[in-house]
Amino acid sequence: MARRKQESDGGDTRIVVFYCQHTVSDLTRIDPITDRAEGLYVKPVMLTCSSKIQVSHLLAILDGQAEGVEVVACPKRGCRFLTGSTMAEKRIIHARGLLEEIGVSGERLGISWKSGLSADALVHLARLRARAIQELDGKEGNA
Amino acid sequence: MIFAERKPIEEILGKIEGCKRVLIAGCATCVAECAVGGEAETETLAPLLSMARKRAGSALDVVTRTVEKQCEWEFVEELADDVGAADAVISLACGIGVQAMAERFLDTPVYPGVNTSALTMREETGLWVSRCAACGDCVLGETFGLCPVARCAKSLMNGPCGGSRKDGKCEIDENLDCVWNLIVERAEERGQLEALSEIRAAKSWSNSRHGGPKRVVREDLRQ
Amino acid sequence: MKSGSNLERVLSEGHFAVTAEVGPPRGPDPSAVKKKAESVKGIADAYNVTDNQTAVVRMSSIAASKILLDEGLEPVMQMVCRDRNRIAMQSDLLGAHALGMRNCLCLSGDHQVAGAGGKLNGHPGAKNVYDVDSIQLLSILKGLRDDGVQEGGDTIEPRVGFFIGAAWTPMGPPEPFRVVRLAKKIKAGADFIQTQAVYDTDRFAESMKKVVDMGLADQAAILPGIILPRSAGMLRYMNANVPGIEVPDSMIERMKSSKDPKEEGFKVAVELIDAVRGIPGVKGVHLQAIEAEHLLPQLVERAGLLPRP
Repeated sequence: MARRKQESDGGDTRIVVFYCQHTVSDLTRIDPITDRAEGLYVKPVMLTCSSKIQVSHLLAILDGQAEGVEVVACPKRGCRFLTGSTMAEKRIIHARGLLEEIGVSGERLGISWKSGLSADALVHLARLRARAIQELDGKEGNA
Repeated sequence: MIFAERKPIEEILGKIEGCKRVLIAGCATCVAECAVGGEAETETLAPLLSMARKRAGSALDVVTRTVEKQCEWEFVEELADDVGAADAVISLACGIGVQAMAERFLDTPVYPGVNTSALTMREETGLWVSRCAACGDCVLGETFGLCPVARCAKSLMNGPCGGSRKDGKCEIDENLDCVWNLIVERAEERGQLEALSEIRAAKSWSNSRHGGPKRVVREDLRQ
Repeated sequence: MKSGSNLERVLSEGHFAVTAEVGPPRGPDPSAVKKKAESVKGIADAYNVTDNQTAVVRMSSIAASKILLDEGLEPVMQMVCRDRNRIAMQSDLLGAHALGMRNCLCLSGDHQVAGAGGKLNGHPGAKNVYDVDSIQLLSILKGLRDDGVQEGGDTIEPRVGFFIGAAWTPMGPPEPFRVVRLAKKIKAGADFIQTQAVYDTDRFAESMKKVVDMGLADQAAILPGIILPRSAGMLRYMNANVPGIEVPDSMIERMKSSKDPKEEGFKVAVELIDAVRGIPGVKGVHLQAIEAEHLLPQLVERAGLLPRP
């Protein structure tokens, strides 16, 4: 498994945001964001559906590439593929269980169901995830 | 197909404590079908072991490889180089595959990563149900296609017992159908309830594991 | 007479039989069994001794039965299919006979996963035997008795003399098939039948009508089970959790609104006994008071079943 080169300075909380293309109001690519003040690095990744996430991929990301992952899915009854955003949640729950088994907090994986988001709103979700994780790092130690 | 369930990660970590490099070997047949030992699952286990060991301050190199079937020597052979480079193998195959690996690679410890537990059918997405018990004396022709050995908790041949619930479920599991209830229903639908008034004599278990480990030669296929 | 047992004699003489259940202790002390024996002596024609009921390890039925026998009570040993294969079963039956046992109730037995309804640990990890089922066990015991032959074909010398019993759950699903299964048990060798506890005597009467019509009531003695109710809660629990037990709402209500439920329980039990006594084909009753055997003498007396013949 190749390790992705760290794109931020050491010490930042890196959050990968997987978002379904139908959750944002604008399909323009959202560039990665560094917020020095908050010690935050956000990498947005657009998917055709939130159900494209795979448990193995989420875990691989947490093993060195990021401190947390936030998934943004369509409202459960609004998924264009009908069960996509529900499936995404099940995978997050499953992955959380696996993390808990090795003593890593499930808080590192988040999911929310949104629509009509702006780029700023999307990044804000990542910021909230980062804050939740930063609170952990004092308690459970960093991977 | 052969069904397995993943072992607790802690148990696996316990086995590979002194190792610096492990190979997680997946199998693309039965265990992949029940989403516990295929390529995706090797790639799920790998970062978990890696993260756990980092937190313990003892880094671990993890390699993942999946072959078509770990119960065939030709596919097991494909793993030779990767096994050679590892301190231990975690095989996510069923018990048959784990043993094939262990027998071929005598110098490297091979640990099971799953618990092989049943012969099942995937009745629905995400739902596997035991359907066969490999009893060696198939009675499906007399029970209207429903197996009382695998699907009755007591393997009754003259069921149902008094433990059948009101809603037709088994006493020991509210989600499990009482298979004898189903057998009676099917017999009634076919107008053959009479067949179930016959007393089925004690079964011989000798053609299964109970008669000793199986070793079967098919002369017509031997080279 | 097939066995010479007291229960067989009482039934063959046409008396209304009474059997009672005694649970062995969860320990090796024979005095615990003797104490129970003392408290129920003389109130029944034979006493069932359970076999690791709910898959909880207790003193074995055969051992506890022997202690009862030595105290002057006639036991009905019980044998379940959960723990023994056919070799152990036949061996134990020969041994039980040698020790003086003459009645045996053959049951499937509660699955070990059931383990005392979650109150005790039990042994859910034990290997599940069920080499044969209860109907096959009936056939096996009948073979030992009537033909002197083991299940595998070898002979025994001499034959055993057992009065053979089986259980019946008239209200288990699928209900219509339960009478067919009862017929199988009787054909396989059952001489007497003890049923799961009856609380709805009307429905039981309907089942008994089918039994009589099929000629089964003449081939085996049917003894409906009566469990002494102690509270509305107990009835509600059994109704919800014990397969085959159905308690009418009116009865639960009656116990609930009574000022003295323990006394009401006795009244209910006596009424049940009277009711089943009047049903054609019923040849006796099988009485149980879960972990309260000392209450049975009062019940038997109030039901007018004393003295025993």
